[in-house]
Amino acid sequence: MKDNVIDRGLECRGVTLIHEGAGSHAQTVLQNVSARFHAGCIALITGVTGAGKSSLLHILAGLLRPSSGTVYAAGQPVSRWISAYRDLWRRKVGMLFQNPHFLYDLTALENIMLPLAPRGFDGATVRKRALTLLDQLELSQLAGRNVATLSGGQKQRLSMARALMGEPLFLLADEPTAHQDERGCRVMLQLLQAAGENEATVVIAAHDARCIQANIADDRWLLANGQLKRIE
Amino acid sequence: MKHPIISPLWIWAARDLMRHPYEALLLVLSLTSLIAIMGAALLLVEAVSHEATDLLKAGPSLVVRRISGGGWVPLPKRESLQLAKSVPGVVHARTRLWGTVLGPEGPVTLFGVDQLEGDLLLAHQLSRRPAAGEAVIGHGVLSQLNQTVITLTGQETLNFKIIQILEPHTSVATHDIVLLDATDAGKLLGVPDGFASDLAIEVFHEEEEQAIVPDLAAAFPWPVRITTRREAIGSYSAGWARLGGMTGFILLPALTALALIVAGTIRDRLGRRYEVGLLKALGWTSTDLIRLQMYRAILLAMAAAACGMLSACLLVFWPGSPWAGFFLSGWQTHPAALHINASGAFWVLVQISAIIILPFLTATLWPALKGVAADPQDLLQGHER
Repeated sequence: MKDNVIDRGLECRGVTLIHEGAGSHAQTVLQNVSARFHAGCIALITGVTGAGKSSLLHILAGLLRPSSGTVYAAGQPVSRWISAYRDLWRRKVGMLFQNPHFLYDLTALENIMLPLAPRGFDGATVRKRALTLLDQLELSQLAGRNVATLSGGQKQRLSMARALMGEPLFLLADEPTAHQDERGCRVMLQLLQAAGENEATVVIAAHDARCIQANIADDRWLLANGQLKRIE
Repeated sequence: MKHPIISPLWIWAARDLMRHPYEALLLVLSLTSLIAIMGAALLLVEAVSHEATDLLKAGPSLVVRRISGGGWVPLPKRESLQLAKSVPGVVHARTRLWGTVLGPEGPVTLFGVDQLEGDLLLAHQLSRRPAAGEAVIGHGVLSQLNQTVITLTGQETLNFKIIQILEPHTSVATHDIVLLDATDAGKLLGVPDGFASDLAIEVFHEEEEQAIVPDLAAAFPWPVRITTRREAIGSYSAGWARLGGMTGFILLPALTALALIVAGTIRDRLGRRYEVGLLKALGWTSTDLIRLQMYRAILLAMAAAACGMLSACLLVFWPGSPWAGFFLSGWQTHPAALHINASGAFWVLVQISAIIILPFLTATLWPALKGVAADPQDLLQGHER
């Protein structure tokens, strides 16, 4: 653990998420979850399907507001900020979705350039970075292809490339190896590890054995029955 | 990283349009048609009223007509001129012989040509004055311009040999006029020799136009109606404003089409929740998303405004283009040549912007504002593939 960079990490305090169902069927997904994810470290959250791992990552990424509790990033209570500030904060986050979201009528290259599109960078530079990432993820051949034509594994690797485009301080990966073959799995884990080595706060939610057994995590957590517990 | 001069969002807005090229094309075509129709109507009214106002400004300060219980009656030339010139402030007075008679394709304005001395407008256009039995006609009098004879019906029906057709680009005033020898004109109009239709008077200064009216009226032994230039311009302006209002009524279907476009745009934009959610999740701010939507709409609106206004200008000002005049003013023969003026065209563009472009941009902005307030996950929900 790298305690010298703790302040730049992510922390949730007393986070509860209740999904309001139809009528009075409210479902508690997360209950009073508190955890600290350190910068430069890789945290792995495991748990069965439906345990609420994705919801926790979405809350950490600022995509979803908790019913109660607060998320702190670098010591700042980001989940309590007004929408405009949370928009800006989200730029520091790279999110790898379990079910990759894309604009399906754009090419692979255009999709991964999207995070930097509004930031005013020179188009050629953005394109160069995007192509480098595609190369790292062994997707160079697919740069001009429409995303709709890619396989599940290719989409997931593309999603990883997009998450890394903005050189995020916080990288949140939801089941990053689920659709990968052995080679793809190795590439994904290497990139996650490299992000941790570059002082990013990396949080992985996974139940894929390959990911769990890869032993890249500095911290391990188990999410069960809405409670998050650290595995010593 | 380097920062470019033009925001990359403009490029992304253009790329976004290309994602649904047929939809974008249809939208541009619809807006272009609306702008062309409405622009043509507004430009036509503006151009004709501008030309008419210019003509009136170049016309006499005062026009005196003799009236009786049944309307106007001819006034004696010599006596009228003497009486008018005796009024202090009158600089110049001349009699005019003119009126309306029936041509082969509708009413035409007839002028006795020896009364046009000093009229620079026409003096520069006539190759020679028409002699007895001859006629010079405006470009819009006949649809078949190769005819050599024209039949006119007034107090009697007479045939005249056409010796010249006035060029269409000269002035809207010459569009439907027929110039005849004064004696021939008098026969058709029922004005005896030595009499005129009215009296055109010039005063030294524009401010004197109104002041001189009572003295002038008192100078004649018979009742007269005196019209100042300002009154004439006011009367014509009111007429054009009425035509503009009627044109607006005709354009109701176009406005209905605009309402449909606006409704469709709102529905389309509201339907893009997934896209907004994804872009927010990728770090796009609400401002970025609104800018993207607005740039996209501005690109569409600019293309439509440019094409629409160009089409409208061609419909109204392109030589020989009869469409706008035919549909909006009922011009049956060759259309009058109108001249574009920058301030008028700019004013029409402002009106078009207010009537068409602004509602379209608002239809884009409102859903964009509504969409960006939500949390990304709420917007992405239910759209996983």
